[in-house]
Amino acid sequence: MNETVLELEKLTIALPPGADRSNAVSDVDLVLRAGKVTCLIGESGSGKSLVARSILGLLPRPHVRVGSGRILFEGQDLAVAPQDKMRAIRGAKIGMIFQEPMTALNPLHTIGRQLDEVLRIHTPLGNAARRARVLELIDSVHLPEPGRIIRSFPHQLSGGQRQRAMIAMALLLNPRLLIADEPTTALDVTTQAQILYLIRELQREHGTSVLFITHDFGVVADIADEVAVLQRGTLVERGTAAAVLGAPVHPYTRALIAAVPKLVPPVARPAMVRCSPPKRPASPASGWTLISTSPTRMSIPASSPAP
Amino acid sequence: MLEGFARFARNRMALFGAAVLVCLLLLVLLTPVIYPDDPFKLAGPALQPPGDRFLLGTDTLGRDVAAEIAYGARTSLIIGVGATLAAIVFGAVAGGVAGYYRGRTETVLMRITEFFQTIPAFIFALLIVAILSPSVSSEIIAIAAVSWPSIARLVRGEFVSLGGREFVQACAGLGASDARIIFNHMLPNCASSIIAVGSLLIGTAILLEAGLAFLGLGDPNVMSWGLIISAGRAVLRSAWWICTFPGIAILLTVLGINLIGDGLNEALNPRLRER
Repeated sequence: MNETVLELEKLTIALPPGADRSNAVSDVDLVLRAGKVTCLIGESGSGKSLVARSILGLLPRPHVRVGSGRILFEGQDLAVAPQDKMRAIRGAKIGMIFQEPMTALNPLHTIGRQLDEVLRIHTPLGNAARRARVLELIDSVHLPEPGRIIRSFPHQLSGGQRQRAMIAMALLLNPRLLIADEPTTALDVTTQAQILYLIRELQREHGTSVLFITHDFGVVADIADEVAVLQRGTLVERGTAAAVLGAPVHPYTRALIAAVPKLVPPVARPAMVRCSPPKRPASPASGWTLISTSPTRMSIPASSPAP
Repeated sequence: MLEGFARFARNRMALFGAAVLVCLLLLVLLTPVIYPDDPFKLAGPALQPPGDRFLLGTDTLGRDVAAEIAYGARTSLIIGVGATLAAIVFGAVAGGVAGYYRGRTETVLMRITEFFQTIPAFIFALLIVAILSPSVSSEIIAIAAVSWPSIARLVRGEFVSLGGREFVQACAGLGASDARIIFNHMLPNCASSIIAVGSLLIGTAILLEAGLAFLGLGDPNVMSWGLIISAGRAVLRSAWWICTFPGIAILLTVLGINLIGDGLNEALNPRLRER
Protein backbone atom coordinates (compact mmCIF):
# COMPACT_ATOMS: atom_id res chain seq x y z
CA MET A 1 0.00 0.00 0.00
CA ASN A 2 2.95 2.31 0.55
CA GLU A 3 4.41 2.23 -2.95
CA THR A 4 5.70 5.48 -4.33
CA VAL A 5 3.34 7.19 -6.76
CA LEU A 6 5.26 10.36 -7.49
CA GLU A 7 8.70 11.50 -6.57
CA LEU A 8 10.13 14.99 -6.81
CA GLU A 9 13.92 14.97 -7.06
CA LYS A 10 15.69 18.25 -6.39
CA LEU A 11 12.91 20.15 -8.18
CA THR A 12 13.81 23.76 -8.92
CA ILE A 13 11.33 26.11 -10.58
CA ALA A 14 12.91 29.17 -12.18
CA LEU A 15 11.20 32.56 -12.07
CA PRO A 16 11.66 35.25 -14.71
CA PRO A 17 14.34 37.88 -14.06
CA GLY A 18 13.05 40.70 -11.88
CA ALA A 19 10.96 38.52 -9.58
CA ASP A 20 11.57 38.70 -5.83
CA ARG A 21 13.84 35.66 -6.02
CA SER A 22 15.48 33.74 -8.81
CA ASN A 23 13.80 30.40 -8.06
CA ALA A 24 10.21 29.94 -6.90
CA VAL A 25 11.29 26.72 -5.21
CA SER A 26 14.72 25.19 -5.05
CA ASP A 27 15.85 21.61 -4.54
CA VAL A 28 12.53 20.25 -3.33
CA ASP A 29 12.56 16.52 -2.61
CA LEU A 30 9.20 14.96 -1.96
CA VAL A 31 7.79 11.45 -2.13
CA LEU A 32 4.05 10.86 -2.50
CA ARG A 33 2.86 7.39 -1.56
CA ALA A 34 -0.26 5.50 -2.54
CA GLY A 35 -3.08 5.80 -0.01
CA LYS A 36 -1.41 8.66 1.84
CA VAL A 37 -2.32 12.34 2.12
CA THR A 38 0.73 14.57 1.96
CA CYS A 39 0.18 18.17 3.00
CA LEU A 40 2.42 20.79 1.47
CA ILE A 41 2.17 23.77 3.74
CA GLY A 42 3.57 27.28 3.56
CA GLU A 43 2.48 30.90 3.57
CA SER A 44 1.47 32.87 0.47
CA GLY A 45 4.28 33.14 -2.02
CA SER A 46 6.20 30.17 -0.67
CA GLY A 47 5.86 28.42 -4.04
CA LYS A 48 3.51 25.63 -2.98
CA SER A 49 1.02 26.12 -5.81
CA LEU A 50 3.77 26.22 -8.40
CA VAL A 51 4.98 22.82 -7.19
CA ALA A 52 1.48 21.46 -7.86
CA ARG A 53 1.28 23.05 -11.29
CA SER A 54 4.73 21.86 -12.28
CA ILE A 55 3.62 18.25 -11.71
CA LEU A 56 0.87 18.70 -14.30
CA GLY A 57 3.07 20.78 -16.59
CA LEU A 58 0.80 23.78 -16.14
CA LEU A 59 3.30 26.42 -15.09
CA PRO A 60 2.38 29.90 -16.36
CA ARG A 61 3.80 30.17 -19.85
CA PRO A 62 6.31 31.17 -20.93
CA HIS A 63 8.32 32.72 -18.11
CA VAL A 64 8.04 30.25 -15.25
CA ARG A 65 9.59 26.87 -15.96
CA VAL A 66 11.21 23.87 -14.32
CA GLY A 67 14.86 24.86 -13.98
CA SER A 68 16.31 21.54 -12.89
CA GLY A 69 15.37 18.36 -11.09
CA ARG A 70 13.02 15.54 -11.97
CA ILE A 71 9.34 14.74 -11.48
CA LEU A 72 9.10 10.96 -11.57
CA PHE A 73 5.68 9.43 -12.19
CA GLU A 74 5.33 5.80 -13.30
CA GLY A 75 8.93 5.73 -14.46
CA GLN A 76 8.68 8.88 -16.57
CA ASP A 77 10.11 12.30 -15.92
CA LEU A 78 7.13 14.63 -16.29
CA ALA A 79 9.39 17.69 -16.37
CA VAL A 80 10.56 16.75 -19.84
CA ALA A 81 7.55 14.71 -21.07
CA PRO A 82 6.10 15.80 -24.44
CA GLN A 83 2.73 17.59 -24.49
CA ASP A 84 0.70 14.68 -25.88
CA LYS A 85 2.01 12.36 -23.14
CA MET A 86 1.12 14.99 -20.53
CA ARG A 87 -2.40 15.32 -21.95
CA ALA A 88 -2.95 11.59 -21.59
CA ILE A 89 -1.80 11.75 -17.95
CA ARG A 90 -3.70 14.88 -16.92
CA GLY A 91 -7.21 14.08 -15.78
CA ALA A 92 -6.76 10.34 -16.26
CA LYS A 93 -3.85 9.50 -13.97
CA ILE A 94 -3.41 12.76 -12.09
CA GLY A 95 -6.51 14.72 -11.11
CA MET A 96 -6.57 18.23 -9.76
CA ILE A 97 -9.00 20.30 -7.72
CA PHE A 98 -8.74 24.03 -7.41
CA GLN A 99 -9.28 26.62 -4.73
CA GLU A 100 -12.32 28.43 -6.13
CA PRO A 101 -14.78 26.03 -7.77
CA MET A 102 -16.77 28.92 -9.22
CA THR A 103 -13.87 29.97 -11.42
CA ALA A 104 -12.60 26.45 -12.00
CA LEU A 105 -15.80 25.43 -13.79
CA ASN A 106 -16.78 26.81 -17.18
CA PRO A 107 -19.73 29.14 -16.44
CA LEU A 108 -21.40 28.38 -19.79
CA HIS A 109 -21.53 24.58 -19.59
CA THR A 110 -23.68 22.42 -17.34
CA ILE A 111 -22.00 20.33 -14.67
CA GLY A 112 -22.99 17.17 -16.55
CA ARG A 113 -21.42 18.36 -19.79
CA GLN A 114 -18.16 19.23 -18.07
CA LEU A 115 -17.92 15.85 -16.39
CA ASP A 116 -18.88 14.15 -19.62
CA GLU A 117 -16.11 15.95 -21.45
CA VAL A 118 -13.44 14.32 -19.28
CA LEU A 119 -14.73 10.87 -20.25
CA ARG A 120 -15.01 11.94 -23.87
CA ILE A 121 -11.36 13.01 -23.91
CA HIS A 122 -9.92 9.95 -22.22
CA THR A 123 -12.20 7.01 -22.88
CA PRO A 124 -13.96 5.41 -25.85
CA LEU A 125 -17.19 4.94 -23.82
CA GLY A 126 -20.57 5.45 -25.49
CA ASN A 127 -23.17 8.05 -24.48
CA ALA A 128 -25.11 5.82 -22.09
CA ALA A 129 -22.00 4.43 -20.39
CA ARG A 130 -20.57 7.92 -19.91
CA ARG A 131 -23.81 9.17 -18.45
CA ALA A 132 -24.00 6.24 -16.05
CA ARG A 133 -20.44 6.88 -14.88
CA VAL A 134 -21.11 10.60 -14.41
CA LEU A 135 -24.24 9.89 -12.34
CA GLU A 136 -22.35 7.32 -10.29
CA LEU A 137 -19.61 9.82 -9.46
CA ILE A 138 -22.09 12.60 -8.66
CA ASP A 139 -23.71 10.18 -6.25
CA SER A 140 -20.40 9.12 -4.70
CA VAL A 141 -19.57 12.72 -3.74
CA HIS A 142 -22.95 12.83 -1.97
CA LEU A 143 -24.61 15.44 -4.14
CA PRO A 144 -28.41 15.26 -3.87
CA GLU A 145 -30.55 14.57 -6.96
CA PRO A 146 -27.79 13.69 -9.46
CA GLY A 147 -30.28 14.06 -12.32
CA ARG A 148 -30.86 17.70 -11.43
CA ILE A 149 -27.21 18.46 -10.67
CA ILE A 150 -25.94 17.40 -14.08
CA ARG A 151 -28.39 19.78 -15.72
CA SER A 152 -27.33 22.72 -13.50
CA PHE A 153 -24.94 25.48 -14.40
CA PRO A 154 -22.14 26.27 -11.93
CA HIS A 155 -23.80 29.48 -10.72
CA GLN A 156 -26.91 27.53 -9.73
CA LEU A 157 -25.04 25.46 -7.13
CA SER A 158 -23.67 26.44 -3.74
CA GLY A 159 -19.94 26.68 -3.11
CA GLY A 160 -19.81 23.32 -1.36
CA GLN A 161 -21.82 21.64 -4.12
CA ARG A 162 -19.54 23.11 -6.77
CA GLN A 163 -16.49 21.81 -4.94
CA ARG A 164 -18.10 18.37 -4.72
CA ALA A 165 -18.71 18.50 -8.47
CA MET A 166 -15.05 19.43 -8.99
CA ILE A 167 -13.98 16.47 -6.86
CA ALA A 168 -16.25 14.17 -8.88
CA MET A 169 -14.65 15.50 -12.04
CA ALA A 170 -11.13 14.95 -10.74
CA LEU A 171 -11.93 11.39 -9.64
CA LEU A 172 -13.97 10.27 -12.69
CA LEU A 173 -11.14 8.16 -14.06
CA ASN A 174 -9.79 6.93 -10.72
CA PRO A 175 -6.47 8.79 -10.91
CA ARG A 176 -3.51 7.48 -8.93
CA LEU A 177 -2.71 10.96 -7.69
CA LEU A 178 -5.03 13.78 -6.70
CA ILE A 179 -3.62 17.27 -6.37
CA ALA A 180 -5.77 19.55 -4.23
CA ASP A 181 -4.71 23.21 -4.35
CA GLU A 182 -6.27 24.81 -1.25
CA PRO A 183 -9.63 23.21 -2.04
CA THR A 184 -11.28 24.38 1.17
CA THR A 185 -9.93 27.92 1.49
CA ALA A 186 -12.89 29.53 -0.28
CA LEU A 187 -15.50 27.62 1.74
CA ASP A 188 -17.08 28.29 5.10
CA VAL A 189 -15.94 26.23 8.06
CA THR A 190 -18.74 23.64 8.15
CA THR A 191 -18.55 23.01 4.41
CA GLN A 192 -14.78 22.88 4.74
CA ALA A 193 -15.04 20.04 7.23
CA GLN A 194 -17.47 18.13 5.01
CA ILE A 195 -15.23 18.50 1.96
CA LEU A 196 -12.18 17.36 3.93
CA TYR A 197 -14.11 14.37 5.15
CA LEU A 198 -15.21 13.58 1.60
CA ILE A 199 -11.68 13.75 0.22
CA ARG A 200 -10.47 11.51 3.04
CA GLU A 201 -13.28 9.01 2.46
CA LEU A 202 -12.82 8.76 -1.32
CA GLN A 203 -9.06 8.67 -1.02
CA ARG A 204 -9.20 5.73 1.43
CA GLU A 205 -11.71 3.90 -0.73
CA HIS A 206 -9.54 4.01 -3.86
CA GLY A 207 -6.05 4.13 -2.34
CA THR A 208 -5.40 7.43 -4.13
CA SER A 209 -2.34 9.40 -3.21
CA VAL A 210 -3.21 13.03 -2.39
CA LEU A 211 -1.00 16.09 -2.52
CA PHE A 212 -2.89 18.62 -0.43
CA ILE A 213 -1.74 22.20 -0.60
CA THR A 214 -2.77 24.51 2.18
CA HIS A 215 -1.64 27.29 4.51
CA ASP A 216 -3.92 26.19 7.30
CA PHE A 217 -2.55 23.96 10.06
CA GLY A 218 -6.09 23.25 11.22
CA VAL A 219 -6.69 21.49 7.91
CA VAL A 220 -3.36 19.69 8.17
CA ALA A 221 -4.30 18.26 11.55
CA ASP A 222 -7.58 16.96 10.07
CA ILE A 223 -6.33 15.26 6.97
CA ALA A 224 -2.57 14.78 6.71
CA ASP A 225 -0.58 11.57 6.93
CA GLU A 226 2.62 13.32 6.02
CA VAL A 227 3.58 16.97 6.11
CA ALA A 228 6.12 19.01 4.18
CA VAL A 229 6.77 22.63 5.13
CA LEU A 230 7.85 25.11 2.50
CA GLN A 231 9.42 28.46 3.41
CA ARG A 232 10.20 30.87 0.60
CA GLY A 233 10.88 28.06 -1.84
CA THR A 234 12.87 25.77 0.42
CA LEU A 235 11.59 22.64 2.08
CA VAL A 236 12.47 23.20 5.73
CA GLU A 237 10.82 20.26 7.39
CA ARG A 238 9.09 17.06 6.44
CA GLY A 239 7.85 13.99 8.26
CA THR A 240 4.74 12.25 9.47
CA ALA A 241 1.86 14.45 10.57
CA ALA A 242 2.23 13.32 14.18
CA ALA A 243 5.94 14.15 14.22
CA VAL A 244 5.68 17.55 12.56
CA LEU A 245 2.62 18.71 14.48
CA GLY A 246 3.64 17.18 17.78
CA ALA A 247 7.33 18.00 17.85
CA PRO A 248 8.23 20.54 15.18
CA VAL A 249 11.97 20.92 14.75
CA HIS A 250 12.33 23.93 12.48
CA PRO A 251 11.61 27.37 13.99
CA TYR A 252 9.46 28.30 10.99
CA THR A 253 7.20 25.29 11.53
CA ARG A 254 6.90 26.14 15.21
CA ALA A 255 6.01 29.72 14.36
CA LEU A 256 3.36 28.58 11.85
CA ILE A 257 1.80 26.24 14.39
CA ALA A 258 1.80 28.97 17.00
CA ALA A 259 0.01 31.26 14.56
CA VAL A 260 -3.07 29.00 14.53
CA PRO A 261 -5.69 30.88 16.56
CA LYS A 262 -6.74 29.12 19.74
CA LEU A 263 -10.20 29.22 21.22
CA VAL A 264 -8.81 30.35 24.59
CA PRO A 265 -7.85 34.02 24.53
CA PRO A 266 -4.07 34.32 24.35
CA VAL A 267 -2.18 36.11 27.09
CA ALA A 268 0.56 37.47 24.89
CA ARG A 269 -0.14 36.58 21.31
CA PRO A 270 2.80 36.46 18.94
CA ALA A 271 2.20 39.02 16.23
CA MET A 272 3.50 39.56 12.75
CA VAL A 273 6.17 42.21 12.94
CA ARG A 274 6.83 44.30 9.90
CA CYS A 275 10.29 45.58 9.18
CA SER A 276 10.06 49.04 7.72
CA PRO A 277 10.26 50.23 5.02
CA PRO A 278 8.04 47.69 3.20
CA LYS A 279 10.26 47.32 0.18
CA ARG A 280 11.47 44.15 -1.50
CA PRO A 281 13.32 42.10 1.07
CA ALA A 282 17.06 41.91 0.65
CA SER A 283 17.44 38.48 2.21
CA PRO A 284 15.01 35.73 3.07
CA ALA A 285 15.26 36.63 6.74
CA SER A 286 13.80 40.13 6.51
CA GLY A 287 10.64 41.76 5.21
CA TRP A 288 7.21 40.31 5.86
CA THR A 289 8.05 37.25 7.81
CA LEU A 290 7.89 35.85 11.25
CA ILE A 291 10.93 37.17 13.04
CA SER A 292 10.96 35.30 16.28
CA THR A 293 12.52 31.91 16.54
CA SER A 294 10.45 31.30 19.63
CA PRO A 295 6.74 30.93 19.01
CA THR A 296 5.81 32.49 22.31
CA ARG A 297 7.88 35.63 22.51
CA MET A 298 8.72 38.11 19.80
CA SER A 299 11.80 40.20 19.69
CA ILE A 300 12.20 43.24 17.49
CA PRO A 301 15.24 42.78 15.26
CA ALA A 302 18.06 45.24 15.73
CA SER A 303 17.89 46.39 12.13
CA SER A 304 14.48 48.00 12.48
CA PRO A 305 13.90 51.24 14.36
CA ALA A 306 12.13 51.00 17.69
CA PRO A 307 8.46 51.99 17.43
CA MET B 1 -31.15 30.64 -24.12
CA LEU B 2 -34.93 31.17 -23.67
CA GLU B 3 -34.18 33.34 -20.66
CA GLY B 4 -31.84 35.34 -22.87
CA PHE B 5 -34.60 36.00 -25.36
CA ALA B 6 -36.97 37.04 -22.59
CA ARG B 7 -34.39 39.55 -21.38
CA PHE B 8 -33.86 40.73 -24.94
CA ALA B 9 -37.62 41.21 -25.35
CA ARG B 10 -37.79 43.43 -22.26
CA ASN B 11 -35.38 45.88 -23.91
CA ARG B 12 -37.57 48.29 -25.92
CA MET B 13 -34.79 49.80 -27.98
CA ALA B 14 -33.57 46.35 -28.96
CA LEU B 15 -37.12 45.41 -29.96
CA PHE B 16 -37.25 48.50 -32.16
CA GLY B 17 -33.99 47.45 -33.78
CA ALA B 18 -35.32 43.93 -34.29
CA ALA B 19 -38.51 45.34 -35.86
CA VAL B 20 -36.45 47.40 -38.31
CA LEU B 21 -34.39 44.37 -39.23
CA VAL B 22 -37.49 42.18 -39.67
CA CYS B 23 -39.01 44.82 -42.01
CA LEU B 24 -35.76 44.89 -43.96
CA LEU B 25 -35.67 41.09 -44.24
CA LEU B 26 -39.32 41.02 -45.36
CA LEU B 27 -38.51 43.67 -47.96
CA VAL B 28 -35.58 41.61 -49.23
CA LEU B 29 -37.67 38.43 -49.38
CA LEU B 30 -40.65 40.09 -51.05
CA THR B 31 -38.65 42.19 -53.53
CA PRO B 32 -38.98 39.70 -56.41
CA VAL B 33 -42.78 39.71 -55.88
CA ILE B 34 -43.31 43.47 -55.50
CA TYR B 35 -40.76 44.53 -58.09
CA PRO B 36 -40.40 41.64 -60.51
CA ASP B 37 -38.56 43.85 -62.99
CA ASP B 38 -34.85 44.57 -63.11
CA PRO B 39 -34.19 47.69 -60.99
CA PHE B 40 -31.93 49.04 -63.76
CA LYS B 41 -34.91 49.03 -66.15
CA LEU B 42 -36.39 52.40 -67.07
CA ALA B 43 -39.83 52.50 -65.48
CA GLY B 44 -41.15 55.92 -66.47
CA PRO B 45 -40.28 59.58 -67.01
CA ALA B 46 -37.10 60.86 -65.31
CA LEU B 47 -37.14 62.88 -62.06
CA GLN B 48 -40.76 62.18 -61.10
CA PRO B 49 -41.40 63.32 -57.49
CA PRO B 50 -42.85 60.79 -55.02
CA GLY B 51 -46.47 60.23 -55.83
CA ASP B 52 -49.15 57.69 -56.72
CA ARG B 53 -47.42 55.99 -59.61
CA PHE B 54 -43.92 55.95 -58.14
CA LEU B 55 -44.05 55.77 -54.35
CA LEU B 56 -40.57 57.27 -53.91
CA GLY B 57 -40.25 58.94 -57.30
CA THR B 58 -37.87 58.19 -60.17
CA ASP B 59 -34.21 59.06 -60.69
CA THR B 60 -32.37 60.93 -63.43
CA LEU B 61 -32.78 58.06 -65.86
CA GLY B 62 -36.40 57.31 -64.96
CA ARG B 63 -35.75 54.25 -62.77
CA ASP B 64 -38.10 53.56 -59.84
CA VAL B 65 -36.31 54.65 -56.62
CA ALA B 66 -38.43 52.33 -54.46
CA ALA B 67 -37.41 49.31 -56.54
CA GLU B 68 -33.79 50.42 -56.41
CA ILE B 69 -33.91 50.67 -52.62
CA ALA B 70 -35.51 47.23 -52.35
CA TYR B 71 -32.79 45.61 -54.46
CA GLY B 72 -30.12 47.69 -52.71
CA ALA B 73 -31.27 46.28 -49.35
CA ARG B 74 -30.32 42.81 -50.52
CA THR B 75 -26.85 43.95 -51.58
CA SER B 76 -26.29 45.80 -48.32
CA LEU B 77 -27.30 42.81 -46.21
CA ILE B 78 -25.26 40.31 -48.21
CA ILE B 79 -22.15 42.46 -48.07
CA GLY B 80 -22.66 43.57 -44.44
CA VAL B 81 -23.23 40.05 -43.12
CA GLY B 82 -20.72 38.36 -45.42
CA ALA B 83 -17.89 40.77 -44.65
CA THR B 84 -18.62 40.65 -40.91
CA LEU B 85 -18.64 36.84 -40.81
CA ALA B 86 -15.36 36.71 -42.71
CA ALA B 87 -13.86 39.30 -40.36
CA ILE B 88 -15.06 37.40 -37.27
CA VAL B 89 -13.71 34.05 -38.44
CA PHE B 90 -10.35 35.48 -39.39
CA GLY B 91 -10.09 37.85 -36.42
CA ALA B 92 -11.17 35.22 -33.89
CA VAL B 93 -8.62 32.71 -35.13
CA ALA B 94 -5.78 35.26 -35.22
CA GLY B 95 -6.68 36.80 -31.86
CA GLY B 96 -7.42 33.43 -30.28
CA VAL B 97 -4.12 31.90 -31.29
CA ALA B 98 -2.24 35.02 -30.16
CA GLY B 99 -4.03 35.19 -26.81
CA TYR B 100 -3.76 31.47 -26.12
CA TYR B 101 -0.14 30.80 -27.02
CA ARG B 102 1.25 34.23 -26.01
CA GLY B 103 5.00 34.72 -26.41
CA ARG B 104 6.45 35.13 -29.86
CA THR B 105 3.33 33.96 -31.68
CA GLU B 106 1.41 36.76 -29.99
CA THR B 107 4.02 39.37 -30.81
CA VAL B 108 4.06 38.49 -34.50
CA LEU B 109 0.27 38.23 -34.87
CA MET B 110 -0.48 41.40 -32.95
CA ARG B 111 2.12 43.44 -34.85
CA ILE B 112 0.49 42.31 -38.11
CA THR B 113 -2.92 43.26 -36.68
CA GLU B 114 -1.66 46.69 -35.66
CA PHE B 115 -0.09 47.15 -39.07
CA PHE B 116 -3.52 46.62 -40.63
CA GLN B 117 -5.13 48.93 -38.10
CA THR B 118 -2.82 51.84 -38.79
CA ILE B 119 -3.93 52.05 -42.44
CA PRO B 120 -7.05 54.25 -42.72
CA ALA B 121 -9.89 51.76 -43.21
CA PHE B 122 -11.79 53.42 -46.01
CA ILE B 123 -8.75 54.22 -48.14
CA PHE B 124 -7.42 50.69 -47.67
CA ALA B 125 -10.80 49.25 -48.72
CA LEU B 126 -10.79 51.52 -51.80
CA LEU B 127 -7.35 50.27 -52.69
CA ILE B 128 -8.28 46.61 -52.38
CA VAL B 129 -11.44 46.99 -54.47
CA ALA B 130 -9.52 48.97 -57.09
CA ILE B 131 -6.91 46.20 -57.29
CA LEU B 132 -9.43 43.31 -57.36
CA SER B 133 -11.83 45.13 -59.75
CA PRO B 134 -15.26 46.11 -58.39
CA SER B 135 -17.63 43.24 -57.60
CA VAL B 136 -19.65 42.00 -54.62
CA SER B 137 -16.99 39.47 -53.60
CA SER B 138 -14.14 41.96 -53.80
CA GLU B 139 -16.17 44.39 -51.68
CA ILE B 140 -16.66 41.65 -49.09
CA ILE B 141 -12.93 40.88 -49.11
CA ALA B 142 -12.02 44.57 -48.82
CA ILE B 143 -14.41 45.26 -45.96
CA ALA B 144 -13.39 42.09 -44.11
CA ALA B 145 -9.72 43.03 -44.53
CA VAL B 146 -10.25 46.36 -42.79
CA SER B 147 -12.62 44.98 -40.10
CA TRP B 148 -10.83 41.91 -38.73
CA PRO B 149 -8.19 43.73 -36.62
CA SER B 150 -10.76 45.00 -34.10
CA ILE B 151 -12.11 41.46 -33.64
CA ALA B 152 -8.60 40.04 -33.36
CA ARG B 153 -7.66 42.53 -30.66
CA LEU B 154 -10.90 41.94 -28.79
CA VAL B 155 -10.56 38.15 -28.85
CA ARG B 156 -6.90 38.33 -27.89
CA GLY B 157 -7.73 40.53 -24.90
CA GLU B 158 -10.55 38.22 -23.78
CA PHE B 159 -8.31 35.18 -24.19
CA VAL B 160 -5.54 36.72 -22.14
CA SER B 161 -7.94 37.43 -19.29
CA LEU B 162 -9.65 34.02 -19.64
CA GLY B 163 -6.28 32.24 -19.74
CA GLY B 164 -5.70 33.25 -16.14
CA ARG B 165 -9.11 31.91 -15.10
CA GLU B 166 -8.98 28.63 -13.31
CA PHE B 167 -11.45 26.77 -15.50
CA VAL B 168 -9.13 27.09 -18.47
CA GLN B 169 -6.30 25.73 -16.32
CA ALA B 170 -8.67 23.07 -15.07
CA CYS B 171 -9.50 22.02 -18.64
CA ALA B 172 -5.83 21.76 -19.41
CA GLY B 173 -5.44 19.86 -16.14
CA LEU B 174 -8.08 17.40 -17.33
CA GLY B 175 -6.12 16.63 -20.46
CA ALA B 176 -8.08 18.70 -23.00
CA SER B 177 -6.24 19.54 -26.20
CA ASP B 178 -5.43 23.13 -27.17
CA ALA B 179 -8.02 23.14 -29.96
CA ARG B 180 -10.70 21.84 -27.57
CA ILE B 181 -9.88 24.49 -24.98
CA ILE B 182 -9.87 27.28 -27.58
CA PHE B 183 -13.04 26.30 -29.45
CA ASN B 184 -15.17 24.60 -26.79
CA HIS B 185 -14.32 26.63 -23.74
CA MET B 186 -12.69 29.95 -24.48
CA LEU B 187 -14.45 31.17 -27.65
CA PRO B 188 -17.97 30.54 -26.27
CA ASN B 189 -16.97 32.56 -23.21
CA CYS B 190 -16.22 35.57 -25.37
CA ALA B 191 -19.23 35.00 -27.66
CA SER B 192 -21.19 37.85 -26.10
CA SER B 193 -18.43 40.37 -26.77
CA ILE B 194 -17.95 39.03 -30.29
CA ILE B 195 -21.69 39.29 -30.96
CA ALA B 196 -21.81 42.85 -29.64
CA VAL B 197 -18.81 44.04 -31.63
CA GLY B 198 -19.79 41.93 -34.65
CA SER B 199 -23.25 43.48 -34.86
CA LEU B 200 -21.68 46.94 -34.80
CA LEU B 201 -19.37 45.74 -37.57
CA ILE B 202 -22.37 44.85 -39.77
CA GLY B 203 -23.47 48.48 -39.50
CA THR B 204 -19.97 49.73 -40.31
CA ALA B 205 -19.70 47.31 -43.22
CA ILE B 206 -22.99 48.57 -44.69
CA LEU B 207 -21.70 52.14 -44.39
CA LEU B 208 -18.38 51.19 -46.02
CA GLU B 209 -20.21 49.46 -48.85
CA ALA B 210 -22.39 52.53 -49.43
CA GLY B 211 -19.24 54.67 -49.43
CA LEU B 212 -17.49 52.42 -51.95
CA ALA B 213 -20.52 52.37 -54.24
CA PHE B 214 -20.88 56.14 -53.89
CA LEU B 215 -17.34 56.54 -55.23
CA GLY B 216 -18.15 54.26 -58.13
CA LEU B 217 -16.30 51.23 -56.74
CA GLY B 218 -19.37 49.13 -56.10
CA ASP B 219 -20.36 46.28 -58.37
CA PRO B 220 -21.75 48.13 -61.44
CA ASN B 221 -24.17 45.27 -62.19
CA VAL B 222 -25.72 45.16 -58.73
CA MET B 223 -28.03 47.84 -57.38
CA SER B 224 -26.93 49.30 -54.04
CA TRP B 225 -27.83 52.22 -51.80
CA GLY B 226 -24.50 53.94 -52.35
CA LEU B 227 -24.96 53.71 -56.10
CA ILE B 228 -28.40 55.40 -55.93
CA ILE B 229 -27.04 58.25 -53.82
CA SER B 230 -24.06 58.58 -56.13
CA ALA B 231 -26.34 58.86 -59.15
CA GLY B 232 -28.67 61.33 -57.44
CA ARG B 233 -26.15 63.69 -55.87
CA ALA B 234 -25.89 65.86 -59.03
CA VAL B 235 -29.58 66.72 -58.77
CA LEU B 236 -29.72 66.89 -54.95
CA ARG B 237 -31.26 70.39 -54.94
CA SER B 238 -33.88 69.77 -57.64
CA ALA B 239 -34.76 66.13 -56.92
CA TRP B 240 -34.22 65.64 -53.18
CA TRP B 241 -35.97 62.27 -53.04
CA ILE B 242 -33.29 60.35 -54.92
CA CYS B 243 -30.64 60.79 -52.22
CA THR B 244 -32.93 61.13 -49.21
CA PHE B 245 -34.72 57.77 -49.23
CA PRO B 246 -31.65 55.54 -49.61
CA GLY B 247 -30.00 57.73 -46.96
CA ILE B 248 -32.89 57.08 -44.58
CA ALA B 249 -32.67 53.36 -45.42
CA ILE B 250 -28.96 53.33 -44.48
CA LEU B 251 -29.61 55.29 -41.28
CA LEU B 252 -32.47 53.03 -40.11
CA THR B 253 -30.62 49.82 -40.95
CA VAL B 254 -27.39 50.80 -39.19
CA LEU B 255 -29.30 52.18 -36.19
CA GLY B 256 -31.45 49.05 -35.96
CA ILE B 257 -28.46 46.74 -36.14
CA ASN B 258 -26.61 48.70 -33.45
CA LEU B 259 -29.63 48.59 -31.13
CA ILE B 260 -29.90 44.84 -31.65
CA GLY B 261 -26.20 44.51 -30.88
CA ASP B 262 -26.58 46.37 -27.59
CA GLY B 263 -29.65 44.32 -26.69
CA LEU B 264 -27.91 41.03 -27.45
CA ASN B 265 -24.90 42.04 -25.43
CA GLU B 266 -27.06 42.81 -22.42
CA ALA B 267 -29.13 39.64 -22.78
CA LEU B 268 -26.32 37.18 -23.44
CA ASN B 269 -23.55 38.49 -21.22
CA PRO B 270 -23.40 36.18 -18.20
CA ARG B 271 -21.84 38.93 -16.10
CA LEU B 272 -24.78 41.26 -16.66
CA ARG B 273 -27.23 38.36 -16.30
CA GLU B 274 -26.58 37.86 -12.59
CA ARG B 275 -27.83 41.34 -11.69
